Amino acid sequence: MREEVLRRAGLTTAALLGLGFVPARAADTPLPTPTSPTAPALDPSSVIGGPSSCPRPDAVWAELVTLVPRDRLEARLGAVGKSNRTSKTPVVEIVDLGIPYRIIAAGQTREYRDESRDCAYRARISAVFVALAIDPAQLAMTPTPPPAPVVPPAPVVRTPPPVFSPPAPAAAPAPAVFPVARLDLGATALGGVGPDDHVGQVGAELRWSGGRHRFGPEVGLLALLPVDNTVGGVRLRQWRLPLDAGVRARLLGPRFERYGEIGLSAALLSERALDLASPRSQTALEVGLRIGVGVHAARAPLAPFAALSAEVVPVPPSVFALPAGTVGHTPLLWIGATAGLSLSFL
Amino acid sequence: MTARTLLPMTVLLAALAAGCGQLDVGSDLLWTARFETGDFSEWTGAQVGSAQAFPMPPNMIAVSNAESHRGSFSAALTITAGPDNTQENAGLARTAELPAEAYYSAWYYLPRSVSVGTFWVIFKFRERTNADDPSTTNELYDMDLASLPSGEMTLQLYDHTTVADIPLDVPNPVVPVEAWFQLEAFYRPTNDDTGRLTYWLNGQQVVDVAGRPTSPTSWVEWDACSVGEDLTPETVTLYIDDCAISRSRVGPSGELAE
Repeated sequence: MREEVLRRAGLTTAALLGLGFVPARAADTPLPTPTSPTAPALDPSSVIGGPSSCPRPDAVWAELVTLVPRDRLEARLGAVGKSNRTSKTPVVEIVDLGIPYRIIAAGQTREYRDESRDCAYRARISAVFVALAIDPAQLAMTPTPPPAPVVPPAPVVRTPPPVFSPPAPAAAPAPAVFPVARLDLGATALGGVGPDDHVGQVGAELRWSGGRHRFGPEVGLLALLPVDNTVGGVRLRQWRLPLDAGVRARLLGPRFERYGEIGLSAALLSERALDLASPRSQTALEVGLRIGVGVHAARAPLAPFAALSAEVVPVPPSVFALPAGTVGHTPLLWIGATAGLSLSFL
Repeated sequence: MTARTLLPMTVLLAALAAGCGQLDVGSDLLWTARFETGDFSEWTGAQVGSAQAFPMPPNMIAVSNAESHRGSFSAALTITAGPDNTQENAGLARTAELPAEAYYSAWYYLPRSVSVGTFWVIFKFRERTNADDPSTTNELYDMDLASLPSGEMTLQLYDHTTVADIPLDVPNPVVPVEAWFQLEAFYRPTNDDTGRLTYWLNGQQVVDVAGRPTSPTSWVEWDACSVGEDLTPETVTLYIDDCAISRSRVGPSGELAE
């Protein structure tokens, strides 16, 4: 709850800075015209439009009605619309430009950047901007918590600010808080490639990561189903049990936590010939370097995750069979993809 | 670079090198004879083969350490075959427990070039018209050494059923002297069109007889031998080593032991 309040404050501050408003000066704007009780309700699509899929105009509208009472909102939009009667464009226009997105409301334009393309976050930012643009007094009267950073007074801007000015900073970000530990369990698919061997394997992956800081330890264990492959003309049934340990670096975003991993890996690799006259099973140890990247939801205790990994085995075991001798080597490179659920422990 | 940085790197490299292992997944070899036991037990041990020379003397068969392909020993087959129209024999034979199809491989060493007057067989398959009746055993395919006008040695494949040579796909392949060479055959004895007989000299295919009957029954006898008549010089020793019967090609680089 505290976090949500802080976030609201941050959104408001960001939008205020974008407009060049400070709440103390918002009272200078004229009061809204009361809405007639018999007046028909506004069609949101006629009020908020624009070629944006992130945020969608209806999402902005949904956020807007939570910021401004509906009758006041309709009155203010009606007032703004009258001054804009000659134009057929909506009062508010949202334009999605990829990472940037532009909001045009009541003659004012602002462009923000959001690299994560978090559409819900964009909708909230847009709604705050629109609310301030059409009815600054209303938002100023809304009680806001105090932790916003000190903003130097600025004059009321009644003309549109420069369109492509850099986005205003949000409130000072709270320090990233990571769970004390995280357990990822998922289905995994691995592909092994090398000059003598190409093989695909599927199985399950269990990965633990710990530490409340940006960097922390991680350990992973994979259980893979056996698979048949051919090395140097010898058909083999292969089992592989990889284990790895390393360091995870985390990057916390508004909704997602991205991470990268680097470490050492070891795998027990067992091969058994399928077609030889006298088959044998043998097990060898693979040692390699592993890197991985992944993403999961930032705050939910149980959230889906997806990860990619690559493991290089500089000296892969050789496969030996009589009479041919050494027929080849097991894969040099393993590429993996894993998806599943991530459980965090606070 | 300090010792503090060298140590972790050394540990890391050692860990990576430790992963270098060998997975020995088995063997396609059905039988081998490397003569490293110093006797012919690999041929004669299971009562399914023989090692003999006849008449003896003058012909002889022995395990020798004079020459070897790998290891220390080989079989030395010595015959004295003068121009008296008498066949002289020394041979190693494997007669039973042979599969329906297999690769037969042996390494040979000729100490000197020999002029062949009548014939000199070094690799032979025999047949039975009735697999269960030893009295029906007959000669079938002989791989012979022959002399070229240049003095070099070459191969000839003789078919006893047609009483004629089978032309080689590679005419007059040169057989090395004073160097080990490998002769390998794939043999599928059948009395229908699935029969096949293929020979390789040092890994090069020299003849492929396919799509025709190759034997009246699936019974096989394989001989690595020295059977000759009218050779010059009369007394010749042929060394044989690293013999194998395998389900897959042995080839010149093939290994018979780990």
